[in-house]
Amino acid sequence: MIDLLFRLSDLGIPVSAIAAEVSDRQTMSGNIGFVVLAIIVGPVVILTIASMLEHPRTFRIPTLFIGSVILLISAIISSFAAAGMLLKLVIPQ
Amino acid sequence: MAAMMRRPEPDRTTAALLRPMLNTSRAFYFLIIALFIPAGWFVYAWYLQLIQGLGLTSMRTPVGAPWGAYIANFVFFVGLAHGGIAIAAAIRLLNLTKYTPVARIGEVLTVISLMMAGLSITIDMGRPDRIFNIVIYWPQRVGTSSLSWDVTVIIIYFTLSSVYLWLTMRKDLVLCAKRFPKLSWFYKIFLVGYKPDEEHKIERMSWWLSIAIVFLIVMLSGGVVPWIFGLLPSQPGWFSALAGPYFLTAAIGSAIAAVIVVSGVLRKLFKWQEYIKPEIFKGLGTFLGIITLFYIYLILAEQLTMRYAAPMSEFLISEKLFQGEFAPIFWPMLLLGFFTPAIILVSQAIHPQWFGTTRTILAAGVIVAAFWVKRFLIVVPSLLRPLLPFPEGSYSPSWLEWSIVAGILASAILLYTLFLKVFPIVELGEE
Repeated sequence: MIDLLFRLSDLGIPVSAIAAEVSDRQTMSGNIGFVVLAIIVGPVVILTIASMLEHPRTFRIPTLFIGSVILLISAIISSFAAAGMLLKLVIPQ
Repeated sequence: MAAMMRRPEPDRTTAALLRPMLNTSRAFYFLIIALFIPAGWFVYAWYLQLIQGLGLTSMRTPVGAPWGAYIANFVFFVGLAHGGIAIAAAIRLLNLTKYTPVARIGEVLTVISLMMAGLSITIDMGRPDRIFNIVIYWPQRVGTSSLSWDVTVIIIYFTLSSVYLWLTMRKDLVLCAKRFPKLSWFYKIFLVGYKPDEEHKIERMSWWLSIAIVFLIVMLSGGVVPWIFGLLPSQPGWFSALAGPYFLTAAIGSAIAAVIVVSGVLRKLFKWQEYIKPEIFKGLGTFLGIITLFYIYLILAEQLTMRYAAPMSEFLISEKLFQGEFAPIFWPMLLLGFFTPAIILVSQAIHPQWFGTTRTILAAGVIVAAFWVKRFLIVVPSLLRPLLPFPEGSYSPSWLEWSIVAGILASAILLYTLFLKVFPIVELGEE
């Protein structure tokens, strides 16, 4: 990728071995985002499950909690779609 | 729910805490109009930007800064979003009950700040009409794009914070439904599935969720947001393992400062001196003073590294701040925006007789403004001097960018004011 960028920029900069190495490593670490998100989201999911299983064990509040989380995330994603469609009417295509 | 509809006279405390909802003065309407003007101007300015493009801003590429005031605003609002929820979490986890009166003030600040952060980033997009592509291409991008991580974690944080606010507010909404029968239909929407015995379960759930939220705060402002900058070796001044702690400290500092300011303003406006006591400002002020001094230390560590034996590109970015075009805002920010208020706040902690609530609020206000400037100085100078051999650029936000930044702030205050009119901003307790 870096190799390609240097060539496209046509700046006369030779592609160094370091750049090539960085490029390789970046390609190899293409899934690092999943690791990062697993590290972030994993504990949040565990703590959220712990909160729902906490005494007193009623299922009404956890159900409300899960329902509202799903509702909010769906609303956010839908608002992305709605905003995109609305902005298409404003922005010259 | 029928039993809920009986309308007992609220006791004095409840009546005082419901003051923003019970009384609507002429000043309120003036405030709303005063906020609508910049908010409306912001909509017009954004409309202009949408139809004519980002060329109306001062952002330029490849010579100049492709990111500017909007991204500084985004980082600022994400940081601001941590105060209230952090305080609310600390109250639960560390049993700091004396701060309970300001917990919800900050929780609402969290939710509104996150909305404004999202708005800032949307406005920065060249083609916001393609915003849904974030969702469509998420599975392909999330493996490598730190921006995708940001979107994911901010959505999770926003969702968790909003649901946390809603759950902890339910018992107060019961009181509101009793007190305001005309609006009871509205409160009933938020009271879906309500039963009087739910409070204990919510309290226990909130305790666990507090830990999750504190963890998310660290991973958002000390993780995915700084990693947008800190993981890029191509930008001198950004590439640093220090980025995480640096941003996290700024986030907590600016957020606590904002909670102090908002609590101080509400306390004065609604005569809540009896409920939001000076001890709260004293405690938060001391913490803010210490964290601001720690932030100054981080600035010192960063600048020393950039000036001692760093690559020339790093040194030149530092020079821009020390003696270059950004020196006129860097030094006032450091000395007047951070150092002086921090010394005032810490001095008050050492000599309790020097403590003043107004002084603490003013110092916090100055620190909030300084943190916005700092975000600007993180984003812009580095972009003006890229490693690639392009000529050096310059950047100063255009009138349109200032209009949008001011309009976003006005919209945030407007939303907060409307929330105050409909929901209790301080926990009501038992009636």
